[in-house]
Amino acid sequence: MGEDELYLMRDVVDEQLQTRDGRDIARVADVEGQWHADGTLVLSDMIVGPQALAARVWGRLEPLARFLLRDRFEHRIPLEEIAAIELDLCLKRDASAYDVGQADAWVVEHILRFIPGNGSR
Amino acid sequence: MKNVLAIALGILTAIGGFVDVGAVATAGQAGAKFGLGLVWAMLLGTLAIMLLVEMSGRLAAVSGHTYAEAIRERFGFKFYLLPLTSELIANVIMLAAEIGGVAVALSLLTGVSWHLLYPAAALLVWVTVWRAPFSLIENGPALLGLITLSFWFAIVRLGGPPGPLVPTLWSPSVGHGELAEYLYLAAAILGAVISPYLVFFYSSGAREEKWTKRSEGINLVTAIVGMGFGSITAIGLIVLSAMVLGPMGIGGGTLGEIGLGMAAALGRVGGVLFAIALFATCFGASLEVVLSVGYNLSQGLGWEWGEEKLPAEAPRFNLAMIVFLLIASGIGMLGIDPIQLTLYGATFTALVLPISLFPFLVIMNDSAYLEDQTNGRFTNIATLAVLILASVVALVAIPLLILSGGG
Repeated sequence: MGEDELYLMRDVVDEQLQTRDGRDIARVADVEGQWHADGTLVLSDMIVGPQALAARVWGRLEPLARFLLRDRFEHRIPLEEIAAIELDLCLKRDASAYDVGQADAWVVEHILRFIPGNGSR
Repeated sequence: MKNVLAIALGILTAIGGFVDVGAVATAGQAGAKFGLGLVWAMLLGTLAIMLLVEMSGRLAAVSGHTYAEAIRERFGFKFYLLPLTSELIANVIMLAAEIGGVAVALSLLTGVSWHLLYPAAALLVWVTVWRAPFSLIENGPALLGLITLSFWFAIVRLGGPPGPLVPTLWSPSVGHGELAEYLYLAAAILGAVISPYLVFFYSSGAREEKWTKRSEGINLVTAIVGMGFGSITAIGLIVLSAMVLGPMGIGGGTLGEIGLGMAAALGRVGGVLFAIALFATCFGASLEVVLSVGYNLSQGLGWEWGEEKLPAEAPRFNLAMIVFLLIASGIGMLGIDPIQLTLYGATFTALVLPISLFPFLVIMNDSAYLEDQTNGRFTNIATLAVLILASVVALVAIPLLILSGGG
């Protein structure tokens, strides 16, 4: 196996996404691609979110998860956003540039800010 | 000097991590009912947890990845749900019991009912998890936990184990109809000592302390000496219970009863020392269980985590711990005796042990994580032996629980 060989399941799916500023924002739940007319498969995006995870656990869970969550927590990150593949997937930009990391901000804004000593600014 | 201090603190932490409400409850009952006849189970469990803790520390030191992270990455999300779910269930029972242990300790010191003190104990755990830095969580209760060494002082004070008790070490006296209870307690001891939460906590702690490949020496010494000292403490409680509770016909059915061994040897001071030791070990373990759940969820789902960070810097990690603490406190406040909860928790842990431990065999041989520090042949054989032991314990735990009526 050459060092430049990439295995989707080993190196991308389930791996940690880390932003340029060193924040852990999510793990890759699935990968999306398109079949082109010439028969080639082109992978385009990493998918992050509970619906994609539900589908991997059991296919029949996916419609239920979609009905309940209505795509609100699903995010796509283009594969070209990957800066380096190490044990983690290093992304090109800071956490603030990606929608997926915003759940942290929501938790601070709507829950933790009511608890003294939360450390938010 | 800095290294010596790190090793000393690591050893203290390991002692604190080893002795918790599970170890106190099972050791106390074992001694009261079967003399020294279950010391072998404690020793066997100690060898197993030494091995597992060393591996999880080595993984974190060399790869910079925790055990939970490696499981999801190498086995995928679907498999990861198994250890995650089983850990959540086992830990919610154990946390309810550990907080109960803190409440009982406070009750022994104040005379107020532990039921009334339970919310205060839960609040104390939450406040500490919410704001205390990792180093304080790790070292504070551990230092206080050194009081558990007073179990051996009490044994010496009583003149050591009497002659007729010593042969029960290699020839346990198991009466007619007591075999199921004996084997159940053996399984519960193994479930209490080989606690996966400690393994997950330890590898995350190594990351919190930014261990590198150069930390492998500290890791090895901590795992062996720390767990060894913890085991000596727990065995001390078996011996003390065998010397005091057994002859009096007291079964060690409550934590207060187990404390009678110390009171018999050292009077009022002994009672206070037992209460402080119980407080320190259960409080330390409560923090470790809560953090372990936060780590498991955050690392498995890829959230920002870290006790050194302010809550707002790792929000989902902190929110997960708050929710978990609330659920466990709700269960604890139902009024079930902590010792009964502990035995259920240890039994469930025993039942799911192979699920959490099996990935070690694969991950510790993966050079992408361990580079040139993968397991050697001896370590692999030892890990396989622990897995077989865990599987046997898992198979017999529930039938023995039913047959023995729960210890």
